[in-house]
Amino acid sequence: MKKQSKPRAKKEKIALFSRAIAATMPRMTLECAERHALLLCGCKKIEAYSPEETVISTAVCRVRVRGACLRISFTGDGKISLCGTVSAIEFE
Amino acid sequence: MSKLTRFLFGAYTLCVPAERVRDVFNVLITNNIPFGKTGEKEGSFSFCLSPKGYRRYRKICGEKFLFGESARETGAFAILCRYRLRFGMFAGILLFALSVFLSSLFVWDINVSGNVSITEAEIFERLDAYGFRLGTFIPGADTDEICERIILEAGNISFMKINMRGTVASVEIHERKADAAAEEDRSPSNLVAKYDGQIERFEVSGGVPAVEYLQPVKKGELLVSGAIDSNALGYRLVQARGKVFARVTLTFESVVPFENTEKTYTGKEISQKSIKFFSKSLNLSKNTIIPYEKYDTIVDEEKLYLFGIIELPIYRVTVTYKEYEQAPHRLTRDQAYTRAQKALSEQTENALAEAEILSRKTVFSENETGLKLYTEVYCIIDIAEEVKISAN
Repeated sequence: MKKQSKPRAKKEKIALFSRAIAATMPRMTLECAERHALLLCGCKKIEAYSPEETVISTAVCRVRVRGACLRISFTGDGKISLCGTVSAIEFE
Repeated sequence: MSKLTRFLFGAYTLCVPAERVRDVFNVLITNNIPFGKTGEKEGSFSFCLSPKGYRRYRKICGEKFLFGESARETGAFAILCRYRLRFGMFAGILLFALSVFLSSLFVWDINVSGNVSITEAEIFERLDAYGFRLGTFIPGADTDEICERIILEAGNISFMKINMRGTVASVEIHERKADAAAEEDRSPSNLVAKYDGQIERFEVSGGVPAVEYLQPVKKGELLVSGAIDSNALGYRLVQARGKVFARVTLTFESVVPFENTEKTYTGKEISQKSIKFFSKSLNLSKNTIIPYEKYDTIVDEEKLYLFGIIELPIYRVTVTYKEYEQAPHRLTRDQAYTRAQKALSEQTENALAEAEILSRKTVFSENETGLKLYTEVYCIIDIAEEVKISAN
């Protein structure tokens, strides 16, 4: 019994620790490299996508990105990158 | 995924109609399946998935795709599978790989450095005598032994090393200094007079002077003796060294006939092209017969480069044969005089390079057949000439 409860206790500890860390970290971050690249962390889903306009839904709000030749990539763990010419970023 | 990664490990390109692309992306994001390299073409969007991501996506979709997408496998493995029945292609790839590997085992180029008075052609000739040339099999060439033998054979090389950098052989040479070479020969000798003259001064560093200041000497007369007889050490032979300056009168003559033949080109020429690969030559011209009786041969070798920067061991050789004829030609007086002067200058330049010229007299004579220039130079010059003393 003791042997089975040890790994479980360890897992619970790790989960608790992760939640505590997550609570202190921002739920959404946005990084821009000039006007040509954009990295959005904390994404949930894509509301709309086209090379001229992209709407992404995050844990906090919706982000609308306008520009030209926007190419989207998903690198996992809620991180989306947009490459192209960004002309406007709106938070809704 | 970078392009190289996609090519090496493979990737899947999915094509989705524009109206369904959002749904596909959301499925991928929800299931944490990375995708990239999105593009748009004719109303549809394409993107790339890794093989692992594609398998997970197919598991989610089941037997059929959910949103009307189509998939295509890319990468090296996909190409090999697509062309697996084209044996010629695989044979070609294998031949290419073999050629690249085998070509690295032969010498493609030889560079010589460090030579001052020794020409590159001489170095190549010496290397060629020991079997080291363009196209030599590198593992079979003992470069150290070749260098040792060449140093022993040539008296004017003190150091030689062949460094192989890939397929390029860098030959480094240090020449033996002239003084060092001369100093090695210390066999007994005398100094004798090269010309008739009157002794002006001595600069003797070995042997015993046999003449005195202002003494007239004849050509061949002993100036400095290498035989020394001393009370302390007895009779011994040494190398006579030094300079003996004397006042001499040197004469030079140049004769130029008015009638001579002159070479003139007729304007006709033939070119033959060939390709030289290592030491082999491939003739590209159909016609190999030269229809001229008298001709000059001009050989032009041009090295070929790949993309303008990568040197190849291939030369494009163009041999041009230019026809000429020898026609009788009569020189004018001025032309003959110019030629005679030029010939005379060449003679005096070499002989009087280190002489102190005291006076010069030039006499010009002419007859029907030609023109003669005669010059007398009164100068002070080193007249010592070394003559070895034989053992007998």
